[in-house]
Amino acid sequence: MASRGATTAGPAEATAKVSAAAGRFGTVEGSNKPWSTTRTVNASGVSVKGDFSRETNSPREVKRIDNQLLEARVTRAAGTSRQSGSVELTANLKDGLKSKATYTNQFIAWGYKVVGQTRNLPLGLTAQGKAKTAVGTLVDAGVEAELSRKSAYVRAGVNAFAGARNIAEGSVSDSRGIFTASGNVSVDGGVGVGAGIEAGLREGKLTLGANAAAKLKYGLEAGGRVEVDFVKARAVVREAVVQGLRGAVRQLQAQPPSRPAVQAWFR
Amino acid sequence: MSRPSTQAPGAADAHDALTEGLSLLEQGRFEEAKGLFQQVTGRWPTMSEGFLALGLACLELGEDAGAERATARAIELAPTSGGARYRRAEVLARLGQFEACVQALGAAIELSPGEAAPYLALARIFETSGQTERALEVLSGGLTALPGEPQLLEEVGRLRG
Repeated sequence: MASRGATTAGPAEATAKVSAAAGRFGTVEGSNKPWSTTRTVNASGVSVKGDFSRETNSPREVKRIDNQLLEARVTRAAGTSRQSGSVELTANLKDGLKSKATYTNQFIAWGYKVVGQTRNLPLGLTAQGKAKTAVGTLVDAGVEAELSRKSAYVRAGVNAFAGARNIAEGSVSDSRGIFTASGNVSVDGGVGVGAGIEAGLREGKLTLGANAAAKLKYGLEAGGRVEVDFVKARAVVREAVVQGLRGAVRQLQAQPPSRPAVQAWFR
Repeated sequence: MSRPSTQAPGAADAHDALTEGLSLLEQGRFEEAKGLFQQVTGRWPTMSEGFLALGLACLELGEDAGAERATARAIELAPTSGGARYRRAEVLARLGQFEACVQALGAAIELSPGEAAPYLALARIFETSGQTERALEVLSGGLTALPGEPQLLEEVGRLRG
């Protein structure tokens, strides 16, 4: 459990803050880079403690992802086989309650990056995964990203005991947003639940949310879902048409395409 | 006027007649298909699909003017049909009316965002005009509506080399 004492040794720029007004759970933000070994940051009633192994000199940091998520980030250094890290935080809320969440991030043996980190893949693809929990006494979270010639997938998982809400998310995307695959699953309550998700590009076809599935430890399964945003699709195309229409018409009129070329547009 | 070798639809309903005509188109029997579609449009003059199919046959035969009339009528009858807009766009492209063509494709996407073909055509037009970035934006829109659609993904891969 994180202490609420004074900040221990470490970089002066380490920060943490909380805003508990939004609801039951405090909003926690912390940053501390590089992370040397163990650090406790205390500000405005929030304590954040990070404790990572010292196998490498990899950069490590803790930061807020959203209102209910603290992210632990560890980058595995080349040549190392395994390392782990954990972040524990507590927040004193306005109503006097305490909220606590703990993250433990572990690398897969072959060293893929973990929670919140990205893995750059060919074709400009980026695989990203994260796992989060609002409140949990023990949470293991990790993400793998892997690429073969035609296949990329990212998998994020959460194992939480006595978690209030546990969410795993995975995505594959590119910087332009052309490839987008994502899925998520959330589990409310329960003891000993786990959730995982896959999103990927397989055999040239994106098999993301539709194939996203969550498997809970006790044999329950929950399917992921695909968000089809027609409004966004139309907006993207509309903008492209508006922006490109004049130039396209000018170019085509200057150099009219052949009839077979025009036919090919509609093949 | 073509020389229809196929019998008129007779008692067959419009769907069957259209199916038969489209089968003729697939077999490359364009004149026969056109004749059949003309009879369909005569018998069911308010059915947009008949005019759309007639436009297709005319396109195959290189009869752009006939295609233009047929697709224009199809849109009059079904102004919210994305498919009609798409075929209309093809006709307009063949006639060299590129601005109207692009606009028709935009309308096709507005009306039928779940169809891949208009995205592909619009992207190819932008590519032909040297606007690869616009083409990719269009495909991006397509993949937003149709996640994982193979043709769109293939096109993105091709454009990105």
